[in-house]
Amino acid sequence: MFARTGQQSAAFYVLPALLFTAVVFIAPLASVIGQSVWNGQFTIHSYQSVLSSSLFQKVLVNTLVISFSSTFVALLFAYPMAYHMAKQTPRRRALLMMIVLIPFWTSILVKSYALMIILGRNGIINTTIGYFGIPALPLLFNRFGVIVGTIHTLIPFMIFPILNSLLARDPDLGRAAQIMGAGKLRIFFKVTLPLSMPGVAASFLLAAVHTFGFYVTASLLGGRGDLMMANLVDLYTREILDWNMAATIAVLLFILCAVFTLLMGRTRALSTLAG
Amino acid sequence: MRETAATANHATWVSHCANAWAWFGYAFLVLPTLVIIPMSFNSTDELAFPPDSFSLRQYETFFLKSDWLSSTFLSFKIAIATAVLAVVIGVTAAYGLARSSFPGRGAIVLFLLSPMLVPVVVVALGLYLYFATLGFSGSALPIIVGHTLVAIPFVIITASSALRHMERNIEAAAMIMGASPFQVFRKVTLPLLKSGIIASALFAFLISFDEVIIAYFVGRAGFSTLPVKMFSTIQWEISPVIAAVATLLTILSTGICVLVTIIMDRK
Amino acid sequence: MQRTTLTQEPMVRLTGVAKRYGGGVVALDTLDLDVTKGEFVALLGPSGSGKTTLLNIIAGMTPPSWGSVHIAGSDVTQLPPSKRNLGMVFQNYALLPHMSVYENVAFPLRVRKLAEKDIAEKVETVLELVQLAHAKQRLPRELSGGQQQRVSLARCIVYDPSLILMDEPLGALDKKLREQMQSEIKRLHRTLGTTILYVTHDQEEALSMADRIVLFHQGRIVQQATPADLYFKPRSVFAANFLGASNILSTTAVGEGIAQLKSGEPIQIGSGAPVSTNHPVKLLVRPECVRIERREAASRAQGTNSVSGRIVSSTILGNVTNHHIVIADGHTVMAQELTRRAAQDWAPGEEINLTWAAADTRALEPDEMEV
Repeated sequence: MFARTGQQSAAFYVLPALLFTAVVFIAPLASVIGQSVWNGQFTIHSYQSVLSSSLFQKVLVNTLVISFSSTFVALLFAYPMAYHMAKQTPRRRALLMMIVLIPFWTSILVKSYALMIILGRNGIINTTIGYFGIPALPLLFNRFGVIVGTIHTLIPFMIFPILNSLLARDPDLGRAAQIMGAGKLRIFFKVTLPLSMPGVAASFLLAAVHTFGFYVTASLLGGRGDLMMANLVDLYTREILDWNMAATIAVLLFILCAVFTLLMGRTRALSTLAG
Repeated sequence: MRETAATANHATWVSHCANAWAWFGYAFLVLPTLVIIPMSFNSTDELAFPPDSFSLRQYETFFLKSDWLSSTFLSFKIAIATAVLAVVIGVTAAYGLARSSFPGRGAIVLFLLSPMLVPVVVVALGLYLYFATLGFSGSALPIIVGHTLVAIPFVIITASSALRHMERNIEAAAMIMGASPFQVFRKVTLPLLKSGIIASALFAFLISFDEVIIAYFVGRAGFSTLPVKMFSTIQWEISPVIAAVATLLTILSTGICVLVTIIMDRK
Repeated sequence: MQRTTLTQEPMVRLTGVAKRYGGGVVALDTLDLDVTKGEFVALLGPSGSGKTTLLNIIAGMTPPSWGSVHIAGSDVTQLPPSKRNLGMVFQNYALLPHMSVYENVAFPLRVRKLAEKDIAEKVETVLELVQLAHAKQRLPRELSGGQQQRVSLARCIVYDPSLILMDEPLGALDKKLREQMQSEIKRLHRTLGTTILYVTHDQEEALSMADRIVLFHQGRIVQQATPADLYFKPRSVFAANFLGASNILSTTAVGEGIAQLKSGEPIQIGSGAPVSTNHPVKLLVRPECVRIERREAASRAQGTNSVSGRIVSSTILGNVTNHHIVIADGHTVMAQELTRRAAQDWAPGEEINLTWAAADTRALEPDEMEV
């Protein structure tokens, strides 16, 4: 608690950030919205043409399918990994944290490039199975490649909130599991898993929303048929040069993310991430 | 009794499997990036694993071909400017939020963090259209501004957590001893936040240095950053020089992660 | 007892101060308090009794919901902490961890923009005073808890504030160091003549250090008095129990200055709250006032109370021995004696008489807010 005078002056420290965000974030967002409905005059024509375009419909489905299937598979990795980390001593956990943190902070280009080397026609996997006379598998420039790349990016992203919720609810997870012995499995399914569900739900939705806007992974690891919404925005901006369409698709992508973010707020899952 | 033992065995078996799966996950996270490093020492222009012979040829290309190097310098300049801007704006905001209470504070926090929740491509398109009307073409400023916007939420989150862990009475003591609010901020809060500030500056730098989409949309001719150059190169060919660039980028991000961990630990 | 006359302007004057939080939580009920210049006042009470809230209101860290705070004659209610010219010592020292001992002590002088020469001189003097001149280049974390608290004291007295607030300053130290620091703080108080407001929940600390004790309970001041008065003349059961050990007898008043145990034995009352006949009254007898006598030898003199009892147990606590005795009405009474061979003669089960002077029997006010 500070004196009232202190509270007022402290509030001024927020002003630069507010101004910056307003000028550099809200104004551009407004110009995207403006561009989507303004073509010499106010019109929602571009929304009609985007929503009825078969390309957009295909890309929307692509985006949802890639996002949710990648997020689901990533969760299958992230949860056991977070649980494994939660059980370790703080020292070992810090070490494993580095293993997760470094890929998290590695450039998406580096990660995508690495997967191209591994999954490509002459990549490590296909070369290896070639030794055994197995014909090359199509692993790159298709849906599979995009999903593998997305999963790779999402796993660290999902581990943090799950690990937080595991540790917040049960800081003695490791010790408890050891003492319980035979009851371990039961305790996991009856106590740990249900208690960590809010964290899991939060990280699932957050990761899915995060994926809606993915751009690099699909354009490097996918084929022509694996475009996502962000790639479509780019396509209309740089190649077709139709800014109305580009802006409209961007607005729709924004709405899609907003809807799911609100959904997340409704489940009060966001609050578990704030902690 | 026998039933309990069987359950125990069953549980042990399941937990072994879960552990193995987790380790598979760690390997999946780390190995692909590690594969790049030997590739970068390849002597031929073809991608083959394992490389036939050791050579520094790809690094030569990177350091001697001027266009790679100039992109790298541009990225450095932008990333440093971003780190400075984001830290100044973000840390002051975090301080203001942590040390005050006013109506609508929650909404302001959400507002300041919202650039994190909006797809980068939407921000990038917005900045592209915005700066096209303002006519800032031919300058790195739009990229710096866009990167700062993306980095500020990270800085606010890092600095807020450092502020939360700070002993509150120290600031109170300084105030009672006669220090004005600004003196408290300058002479007490900032020095105590030092490691948090360095950590957030390093992350802001890295966010900017690795950022592709905004730089790709907003950067004009002659202003392609290292990631943008790398991105457009990879789209056309899987050139081994990319392996050298990727290795250098990996070393940079690993170095920053390790540095931040050390800084935060020492505290 | 160095009590200054109350005719001069009080150093601190609180008028109608109260603190209420949202949801109607009363942290501090409306109170008035004056502190004389040079006085050492202890704010004593269990945790959550409002004493720290009051300290924060005086410091300016918490605005009061009502009332005004005057320091040295001027109204500071609206002033920020930095403008009140106070010093404060915290339980966890609150030293600036990134500055040396010297710089910590110099800090308040630097914000006051003193010349470097004057700063050096003053800092050297106070470090000398707290016996830390040798450690001036060290960082706080290189010092022991006691040394850190001495730095924090030095940092307070160096700018000669009109009032020093101390919030459980010795709470983090072990018993031996605490006693040493208590006498050090007393010595500084005597030497400098500063006004000190000292928050503590430790009754021994308050008794041994303060000129005056203000006793808090559930957001109110229940009594304020000199340590001796508070010990010998507590007003309520809470005050009697909070300071020192006490035997509280439940009796019924049967006349002017006389009450009766449930078992019918009469008790003469020496002092305290007025009693009304046929109403219940709680009587305080300090354990050290109670004598154990053999049944047949028990004195029946005027001005002496005597009740029969049976020894339950005796415990040696070092230089004193506590005896627990069940008296006729079924309650247990404690009698305290200095530990001597003779004091060990009482065996459990032995039938004895307890005697104490009527003057040591005090009638207490019923607690308004008994839990």
